[in-house]
Amino acid sequence: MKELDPQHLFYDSPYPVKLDDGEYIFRTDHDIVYAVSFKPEPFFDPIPAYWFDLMNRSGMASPSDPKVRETVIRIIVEFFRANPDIMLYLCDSANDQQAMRNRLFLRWFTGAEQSKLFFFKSEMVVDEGMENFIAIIVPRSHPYLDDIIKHFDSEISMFRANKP
Amino acid sequence: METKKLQFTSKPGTFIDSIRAYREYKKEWRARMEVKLTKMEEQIQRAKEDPFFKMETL
Repeated sequence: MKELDPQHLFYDSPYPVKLDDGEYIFRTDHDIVYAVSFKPEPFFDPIPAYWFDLMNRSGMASPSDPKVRETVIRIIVEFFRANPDIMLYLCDSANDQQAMRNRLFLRWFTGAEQSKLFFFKSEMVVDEGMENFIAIIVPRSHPYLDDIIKHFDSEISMFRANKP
Repeated sequence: METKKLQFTSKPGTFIDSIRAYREYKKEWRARMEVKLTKMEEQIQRAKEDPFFKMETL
């Protein structure tokens, strides 16, 4: 994965973002530290794909803060500027809050500006008794957008069809 | 110019294995982070009680 532009992340983001040991870190006005990381996923090879992860590192409940959303979107936009391929997101299942996290992520990503730039799709599959909300985000300008989405849809359908 | 047909190299039906592997990775990462946070809290507490206590970098 190509590193994100540190200048843009530090100066153009509501909260300055720094790269720290492979994670993109920012601290909010409420003194909560968030870490964003990207993990490679080979399934879409030869198209590069990465799992996006957002973690609250402070272990404290986060109050509603629109600057967090804006900062995360800035990181994602910078991610796609450097790596214009596939991003995947699996909602964290901690405290069984995955459905709520999925709704929040959907709301962040269905904003007018984001919709113009990115194709976004979220699906739910039940595996091992657990709901898994999986989102795929691909730039609308991607030359293989249709193939990527077909590949994703086919896997989701196959998984659902094979479930007892 | 027409785009060349894309051939994915992964075997059909294996995306769920990726999801499971990633779910495990997230679980382990969270557990590691909790240990780290607990150690940090302990260190902060010790630093508050003992002005000569030197904080380690975790």
